[in-house]
Amino acid sequence: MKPLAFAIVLAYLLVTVVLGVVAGRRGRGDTNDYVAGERAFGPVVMYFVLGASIFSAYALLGTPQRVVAKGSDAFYVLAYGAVGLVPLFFFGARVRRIGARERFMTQAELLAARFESSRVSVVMGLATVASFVPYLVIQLKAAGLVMAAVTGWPPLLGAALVYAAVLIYVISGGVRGVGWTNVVQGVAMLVVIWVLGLWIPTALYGSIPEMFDRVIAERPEYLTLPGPGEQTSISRYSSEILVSILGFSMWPHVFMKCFTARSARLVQLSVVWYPTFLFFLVPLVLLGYVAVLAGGPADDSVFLWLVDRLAHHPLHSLLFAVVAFAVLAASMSTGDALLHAGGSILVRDVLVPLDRRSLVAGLLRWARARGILPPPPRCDTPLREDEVAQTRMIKGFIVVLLVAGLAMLGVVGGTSIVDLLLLAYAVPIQFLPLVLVGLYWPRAGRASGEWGLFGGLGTVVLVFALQQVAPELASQLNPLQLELGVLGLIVNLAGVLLGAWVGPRPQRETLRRFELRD
Amino acid sequence: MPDTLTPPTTRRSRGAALAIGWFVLSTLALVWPVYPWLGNHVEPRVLGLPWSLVWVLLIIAANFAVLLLLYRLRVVDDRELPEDPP
Repeated sequence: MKPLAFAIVLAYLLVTVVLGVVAGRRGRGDTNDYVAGERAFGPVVMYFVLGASIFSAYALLGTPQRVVAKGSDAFYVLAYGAVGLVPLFFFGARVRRIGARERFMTQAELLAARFESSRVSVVMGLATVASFVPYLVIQLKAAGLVMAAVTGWPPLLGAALVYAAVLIYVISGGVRGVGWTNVVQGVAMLVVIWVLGLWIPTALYGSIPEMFDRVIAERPEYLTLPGPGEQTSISRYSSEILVSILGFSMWPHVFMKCFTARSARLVQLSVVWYPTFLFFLVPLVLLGYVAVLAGGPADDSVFLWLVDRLAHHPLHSLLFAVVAFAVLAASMSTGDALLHAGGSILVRDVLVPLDRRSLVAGLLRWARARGILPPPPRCDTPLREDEVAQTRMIKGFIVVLLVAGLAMLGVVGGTSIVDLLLLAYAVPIQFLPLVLVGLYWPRAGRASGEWGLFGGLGTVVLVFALQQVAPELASQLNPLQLELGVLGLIVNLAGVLLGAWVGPRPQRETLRRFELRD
Repeated sequence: MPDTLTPPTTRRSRGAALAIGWFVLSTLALVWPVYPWLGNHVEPRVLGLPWSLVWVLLIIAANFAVLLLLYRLRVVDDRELPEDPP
């Protein structure tokens, strides 16, 4: 047990809980408030919501680790970040306007209305939540790792304690709770990372230029591609960057933040400022090179290992405490957005469109009769009209998602998550053709949306299954070794174009609602 | 109902097309074949950092400047709903 670190972590968890509860007391508490923050986020909260949700514990622990393992290949995060959110600058304002006019709160609601198909919404919602779970487990794993280093407890227990705090502020504060805590978490991360990134290299090597002098003299292969052991070919590096750029703005927990902004121009302004957030990765790269010179481990413990290089420093225990705090902040600021978006999506995109089906309607009646959901305004009000029930269900699903994530962490320890994460990253890129043709191409109607989405996601799942069952056959069928997401995207685009060619056109009224002309 | 259906002026749409062109170029500068040609070297070093890292940081800074300019000049889709703050 490290008492100072434990005290700081506890104090920090308490602050986030209080902030979340206070945030929850603002606003009306309906779904528009809980999911979209009454569309009233200002510039500071928007900046940190976009920055901190994207920069997860994976970036914090993974960037120095990647430098140690693969050298300058780690710059790829900076490279795709340089362009990744730019598409949002072009379509974000329109998404914000349409969302406010039509009362949309999620990406799938927008696309389902545009393609006049509730099936689009249900399939997108299920695929999104499936892709969130492994991503969430990675965040839980990082929180468990840090809590184990601070307290000596088993990682699962530590992760559960930290995420109990997250659960409280997400459930009571909704997206406003997520936004406000992300400001605190973002500032904490930026300050801690910059202090560490400048301090540790200077303390060990005199200065940052002197550190790089030594890297050039001793390990020059770590500074350029293909890196140590020639691991990263330029084609592989390029394709990873391009795929990441295409998928970046399509992550539903990022995309739906367009709906929370106070105005359309504010979405654009948040994208303008986003690259400044990227500079916070630079100190992590510097720390990676410290570890390269000092022979650090090439796994996600390297960050804490670096802090131990200063074990004899008088401020070491404080340093350790703030590092633990920063990693937790990174984990929580992504984990909270995933939980909040996951719960919202399950209710708004999956259950609400199905609320006339007997299974969902029966479930609703059962939950109301047992008092799990509040009594409806009138007898048999469908879920889509009962906002109080929706908000209550979102909160329930947030708990279910967290329990599922913790169970996965407990069962597999997070190690075999990496494969699932590959599958997860292939999902959001499948939403790109739908968003682009939906917003800009009047010709694309229901067939376009459905064939593209189902074809793309179906391909991703089939190829992934084949890779697991018969890896040799999968690689023979894919001679160029294209990534999972790209294979899906090719089929997806073919489906979208074919659907636009042979399928019926959307109704004129639908196009007008989406600011398009026939 | 705001007029969101009227196409933007020619000057605006030309500006938006130029902007898209810029971002395509900046993406190309980060991948094959431009990155190995211009970026993937240790020298020249700037403030002690290797050029391979400086190159990526310069592109981030340039994209930030371009985005700021596009925003200030209202080149890309600057329409608001009447009830929202400007």
